[in-house]
Amino acid sequence: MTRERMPRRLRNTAIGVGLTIFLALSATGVHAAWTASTSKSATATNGTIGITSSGIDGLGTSYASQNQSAAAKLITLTNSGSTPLTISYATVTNEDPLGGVIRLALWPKPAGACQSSPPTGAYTTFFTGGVKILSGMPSSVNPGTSVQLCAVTTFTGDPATYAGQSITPSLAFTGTVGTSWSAAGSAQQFTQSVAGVPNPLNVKCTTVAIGDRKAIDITWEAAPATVDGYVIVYRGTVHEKAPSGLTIRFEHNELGGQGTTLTVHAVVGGQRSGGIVVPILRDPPSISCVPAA
Amino acid sequence: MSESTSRKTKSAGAIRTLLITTGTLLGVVVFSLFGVGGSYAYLNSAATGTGAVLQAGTAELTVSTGTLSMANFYPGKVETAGFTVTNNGSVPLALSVSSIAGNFAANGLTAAVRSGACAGTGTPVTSGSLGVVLPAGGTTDMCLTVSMANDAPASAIGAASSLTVSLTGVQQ
Repeated sequence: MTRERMPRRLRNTAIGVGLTIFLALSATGVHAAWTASTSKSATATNGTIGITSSGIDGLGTSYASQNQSAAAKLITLTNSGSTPLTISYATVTNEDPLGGVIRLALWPKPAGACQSSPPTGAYTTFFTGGVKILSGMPSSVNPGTSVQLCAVTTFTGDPATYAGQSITPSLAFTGTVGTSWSAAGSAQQFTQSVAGVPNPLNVKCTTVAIGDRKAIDITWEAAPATVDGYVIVYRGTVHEKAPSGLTIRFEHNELGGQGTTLTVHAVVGGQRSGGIVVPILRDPPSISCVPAA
Repeated sequence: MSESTSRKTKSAGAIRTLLITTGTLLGVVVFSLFGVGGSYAYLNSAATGTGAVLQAGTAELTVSTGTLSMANFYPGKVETAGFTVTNNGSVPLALSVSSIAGNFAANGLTAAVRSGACAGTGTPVTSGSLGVVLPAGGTTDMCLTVSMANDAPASAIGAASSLTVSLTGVQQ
């Protein structure tokens, strides 16, 4: 097999072209586009978040009956930070069992005075502890401004069960911005109580003669409205319940002798059992009646 | 003519052909390189000859003076601040963001730049081309956008940040 040789002129031309391309490509490395640079400085400062509250301590009250509500009070929340915030949480202490039957309702103050009863949509909770996620609050509070909330507490329990008890819960509000920024106002305390059972007033024990037997009359003044009546308890047995101002007569043979102490208990409620209302006694208060010999 | 003499003559002719071809092509290349003008020249230099001055071009960028100041950032807030960039050189420059440096990210902030006034619209970039070629002697608006994400950490509350936007112009 023979190998054909490229014509000399063509070969030389090819070599020349290759050499030229090589030189041209070699030369391009030293040619760069001009550049210039500059810079601009800036500062950015983040805001702060804060909230203060007042009026919470005005929620103290005392209840005497079931479903009794305290008068509406104003709570003022002020944005003390530099950023807008949302009133997101209320933190209450756990005050069970009484706290579990005292309902707190919160709603933004209307143009006029607070309604005596919470409007539809008001946020409600009980003093059972924890962080409560508020709803129906003002969407945003600007820095340096305040919002006012109406607050009403209601005792939903049975006065007989909680008579004389009290709680001192604390309440605090938390404002938030975004998902991680939050600030809690200082917690404020107030006292709520359920009225105790009043002693029967002007109790009189009188020894009377019924024929040849002796008896004791026990009288007292009419029971107050919060008390259903009073009963006589003798040796652990409830003998009779009297709503008010009645005379309960024990004959001597029932007393087992003179000088026996009778205890008068107040009745603050009752529970139905087998068709009869069994009085619930509260002790104290009680008062003893010692009849004269 | 002897065979030896004939071979020498042919070789000389080949070399001459090669030199002529190479020289011609080199001439064409060199002429082409000068033909594209400013793309290939010595940087920032001047030469003085008898009766003539050859002045090379320059590339220079400056920004408006002063430090931009933005305050009271909180989750969800976006703030913008405008500044200008001037091409003080003699060739047009394509502008780009080289970097945005600083401690702002640790404080829950993001920063980006776009060309144009802040009142306008556009997508800011954190690096890369700004999509604008600034002619020699020209000035353009720039807008720095700083924002805080809704999930910025609580550690960022009250923090102070600094940032430096580095811009580059590349000759066009």
